[in-house]
Amino acid sequence: MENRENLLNTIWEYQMAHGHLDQHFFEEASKRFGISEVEIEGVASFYHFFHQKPQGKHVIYVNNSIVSEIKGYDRIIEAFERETGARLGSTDPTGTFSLYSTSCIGLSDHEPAALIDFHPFTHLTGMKVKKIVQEIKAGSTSADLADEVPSNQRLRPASDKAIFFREHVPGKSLSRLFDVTPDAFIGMLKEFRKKCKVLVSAGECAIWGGVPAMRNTVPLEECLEEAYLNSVTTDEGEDKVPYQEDLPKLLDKVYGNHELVKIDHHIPGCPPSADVIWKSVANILWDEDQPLLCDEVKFD
Amino acid sequence: MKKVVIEPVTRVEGHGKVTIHLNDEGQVDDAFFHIVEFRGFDRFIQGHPYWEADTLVQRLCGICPVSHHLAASKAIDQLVGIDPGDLSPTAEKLRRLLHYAQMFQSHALHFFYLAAPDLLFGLDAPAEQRNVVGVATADRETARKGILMRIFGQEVIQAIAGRKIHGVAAVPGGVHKTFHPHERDRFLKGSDDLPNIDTMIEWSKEMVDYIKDYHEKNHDWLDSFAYYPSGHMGLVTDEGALELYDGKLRAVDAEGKITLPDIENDRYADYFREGVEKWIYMKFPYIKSLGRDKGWNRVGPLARLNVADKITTPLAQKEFEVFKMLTEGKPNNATMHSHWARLIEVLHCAELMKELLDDETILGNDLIRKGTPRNEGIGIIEAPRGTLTHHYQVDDNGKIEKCNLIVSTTHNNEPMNRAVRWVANKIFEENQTITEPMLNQIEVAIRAYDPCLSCATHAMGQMPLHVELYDSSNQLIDERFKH
Repeated sequence: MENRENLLNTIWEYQMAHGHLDQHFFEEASKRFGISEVEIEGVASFYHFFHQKPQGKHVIYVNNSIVSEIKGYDRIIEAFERETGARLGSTDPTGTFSLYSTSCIGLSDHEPAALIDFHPFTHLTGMKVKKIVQEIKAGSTSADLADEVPSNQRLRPASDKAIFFREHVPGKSLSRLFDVTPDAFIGMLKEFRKKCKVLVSAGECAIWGGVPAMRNTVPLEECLEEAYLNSVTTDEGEDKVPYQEDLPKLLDKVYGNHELVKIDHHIPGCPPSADVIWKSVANILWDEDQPLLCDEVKFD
Repeated sequence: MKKVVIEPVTRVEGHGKVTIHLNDEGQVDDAFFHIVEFRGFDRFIQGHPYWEADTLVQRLCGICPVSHHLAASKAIDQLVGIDPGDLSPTAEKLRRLLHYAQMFQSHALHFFYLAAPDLLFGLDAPAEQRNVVGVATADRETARKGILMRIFGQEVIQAIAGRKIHGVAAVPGGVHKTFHPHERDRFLKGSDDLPNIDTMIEWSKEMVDYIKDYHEKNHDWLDSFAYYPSGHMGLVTDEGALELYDGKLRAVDAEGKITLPDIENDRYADYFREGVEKWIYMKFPYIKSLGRDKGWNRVGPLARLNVADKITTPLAQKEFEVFKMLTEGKPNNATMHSHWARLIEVLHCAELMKELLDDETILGNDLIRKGTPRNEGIGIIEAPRGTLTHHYQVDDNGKIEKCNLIVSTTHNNEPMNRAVRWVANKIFEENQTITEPMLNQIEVAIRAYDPCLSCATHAMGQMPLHVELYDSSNQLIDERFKH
C-alpha cells in the first residue's frame, strides 16, 4: 500500500498527463493508497486547480485579486473570452482553451496577471491577450511565451532588517559575529567546546535565545536609547551609554549556543524540569536509556 | 600602570568581572566591578499586551522569577483598576505565601550554596573546597538541612504557581487557582520526603544561632570587612515594621536619619534618578534630592533591617533586637552582616508562612477582582535581594508603551563597587604580591550582596553612541559619536 502522503503528488501527475481526473483514476488511486474513492474525490475537489471534467488543451487562470480588479480584470476576462471563444468557467467548443479565475497566484505586483498552463503572464492588456492567444493557436508553447517574473521587484527588506528573507550563506553570520565580538564572550564557549567531550545546551535561552531573543526584533540603538537615555528615571541631560574596553561588547543579536559551536545535546524547557535534566545526564553519562516522556518535556 | 582582572566572578547569579588599576607604585588607582551582560527587556516588551508582561518579565531571572512575577502583577493589577488594597483577601494571602516561600528558598540557596563555603572554610581556603560540595563534605547535616529548606520553599511555590520556576500564579486582579487543603496539609504536617513548616522554623532558628556563634568567634573580620557608611532602603508597613510584599518606601542614611520618608509606591519616579557609567551595563539609582554622590542606597536584607523599626513575627523580632544591639539601634554598615540579616529574614519568612498556612482564608475561592482600567501601573516589592520596581504604561488597547524596571541589584551597584574598592585597597596596601585567596576576598565582598547580575542588566549595552577616551592623567584625549 502506498503512503497516503504521496496522494497530492499522484493527483498532480495524473492531471498533468491526462488533463483531468476521471473515474478510472479514482478507482486506481483508491486501490493504490487504500483510501476510499470518496475521500480522494474530497481532496481533489478541495483544490480548484484540480479538475474532474475534461479540460481544453490550454488552461488559463486569471487572477481576481483586488489589485487585478482595479487594473482591469473585467476587460482582461472579456479579451480572453473573445480571443479563445471560451466563457469564464468553461472550455471553448473546439476544446483548445479553458478559462477560469483564480485567487492569489503570488503576482499581485504585476497585475493583471494570469497563469496559462501554470506559466506566468503579467501586465496583461487587451492587445497582449490577443497576441498570446493567437500565437498559442499558431503552435507556440505557453512556456516560450511566458513572462519572466523579475525577483528584484519582490519586497526585500535591507539585509540588516530582514528576518525571513535574509540571504542564507552558511557561515556568513558567524564571520560577522567575530568582527563585532571580543573573545571574552565567545571565547568562553569555545573553551568549553575544546575541553568538554560532551556539550549540552540546557534551557531555551541556551538553545535559541529564549525570551531575551525578543531583542533581535528591535534595532540595538533603540534598546540602548530606551534603557539609558529615555527611561522614566533617566537623569536629565544623560547622554552616554556604557562603552569601555573592560566591558565586553554585546553581540549584534542573541544567538543560540549551537550557532557558535557544535552542541551535542539540547534539553528544552523554560526551565527544563528536574526529571528531564536528571534523565538526560544519566543517559549521557552512564549510557542509560531512560525515555524522555512527552509530558515531561515542556517547551514553555 | 598595571591591571588586575578577576573574571569571571564566581558564585553569583550572572556574569561579572572586576578590574583593579594599579599605579606605578603598585597602589590601587581605582577598582571596578563590571557587569558584563545585558538584555533589554524594557524595550522589547513594548508593543506587547500588558497581560503577557508578568509571564515574560519573570524570565529576567531563574532564581527569583516569583519576585518579578509578583512585582509585575502588582503593577498590572492597577492597569485593570485594582490597587494592592483591593485584592480579595484570599488572593493577597496566596501571593504573600508565594512571595515568602520565594524569599525563603532564595535566601537558603544563597546562604548554603553560595556564602557558606566562605564562612566555613575562611577566605584562604583552596578553590576546590569553596563550593557546596565542599560544604556537604565538611558538614553533611548542615548541607542536608540547607537543601531541604530550599526544597520546602520550592514546593510551596510549585503548589501555588504550578511549578518551581516560571510558574504562573497571579493574573490581573488576583490569582488564578485555589489552594487545596491537601496541598496545605503537606506543608503543615510534613510528608515522607518533606519536613513540615515547624521543622523549617526550627532549622531557621538554628541557622541564626549558627551565625551568632560564628560572629562571636570571627567578629574581627566580620565587623570590619568591607565596612563603609551608606544609605539603606526598603519597604516598611504603616507602623514601620519590616514589610516584603506591599508597603511604603523608606530610606535612612548611615547614621539613621530618614532620607526618604515612607513614600507611596506610585511616587517613586519623583524621588529617584539613575546614573549611567561607561564601564558597566548596570545603572546607578539614587535619591534625586541627595544627588548622585550621596543619594545611593544599599538594599536587601541588611538594608531592610536597617530601615525597619520592628519585625511582626515573635522569633524574628527577638533576633532583630539582638542584631540591632550590635550597633545600638543605629544602621548597621558592615557588609558581612548581610549574611546575618539574611538569616533573620529566613526565620521571619518561615514564621510568616506558618501564619498563612494556618489561615483558612488561603483556601477561599474569591480569587479575582475587577476595576476600571487605567494606563499606568507601578509595583514595588522587596525581592530577596532588595527593592524591586516594575513600572508599566499602556495605551487604551492595553499595549505596553513604556516599561521601567529598577531591579534590586541595580541599587546595590554603587555599594558593591564601594566594597570592591575597599577590599582592593586593603589587599594592595598589605601586600605587593597577589595570591588567589586575596582575589577571592573581593568576590566575598560582592557575594555578601547576593547580586543577581542577570536581573540587573535587563537594561541594554554596547553600540558606542558616545565614546570618550581618557589618558592616564584622566585628560579627555578623544571623543567620538556614532549614530
